[in-house]
Amino acid sequence: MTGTALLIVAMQQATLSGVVRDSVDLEPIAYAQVTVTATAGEAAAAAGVSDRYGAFVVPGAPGGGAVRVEVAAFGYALWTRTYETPPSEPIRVLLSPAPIGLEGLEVSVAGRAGDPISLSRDAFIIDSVLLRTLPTILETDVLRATAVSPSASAPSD
Amino acid sequence: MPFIRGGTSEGTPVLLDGVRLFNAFHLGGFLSAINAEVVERATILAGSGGDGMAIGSLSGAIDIATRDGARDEMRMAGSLGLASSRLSVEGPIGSSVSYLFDGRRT
Repeated sequence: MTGTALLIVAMQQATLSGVVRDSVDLEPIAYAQVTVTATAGEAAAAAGVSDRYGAFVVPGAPGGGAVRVEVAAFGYALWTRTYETPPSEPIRVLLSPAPIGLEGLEVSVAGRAGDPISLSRDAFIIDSVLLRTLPTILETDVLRATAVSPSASAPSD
Repeated sequence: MPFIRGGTSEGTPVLLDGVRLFNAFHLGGFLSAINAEVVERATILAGSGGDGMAIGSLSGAIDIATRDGARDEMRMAGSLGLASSRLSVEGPIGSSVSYLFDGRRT
């Protein structure tokens, strides 16, 4: 009885696969969210994510009826198609770029301006908060604290 | 004394607000001459500083920036210890200037 129920559930599920590409330059789009939902019934939706080649596989998609496939990717318009039955062949998804307008960001700096030396990409900064959380010997010592930098080694006593 | 990239500690200049300290250690290198209470940040720069500024060192440098004095009210703090004793006084001068005096005896 249990085997029969499992077989029925398996038959009602489908595996959807395909490739997501940019509609302009046809470059593959990674991390696109693919969602497959049944247009009727209460079957649970299935989802998958495209890999770096734009390929995706959605196992456990609702089968035996019409399904709606939605593909969403950051910076692209939502792609939606409805199929009478889950397509057995890989589907080809072309997403149209939809630039995202960002609001202006105002950055204000309070306090003292940074030293030129701290602008280096090799600089490691210990602020006063980190300085007080480091283990001490007798008392907090700023030059001993420099040992937490990846490029500095501990003092030799 | 800290070592940066295997360089000797003598070859690692210590700067306080951009000014080089030629004797930044007390008690034979066990303690630094700078009171940690007045330090806002310490920047460890590995390399010769080609990106930010020339520091004249092969292995790196340590740049220590002190904090500003209190601007809301006058404060006085001190401590007595086996290794060192210290006393600091800070406060505002007008609305935009502050002072900070700090002394330590090891």
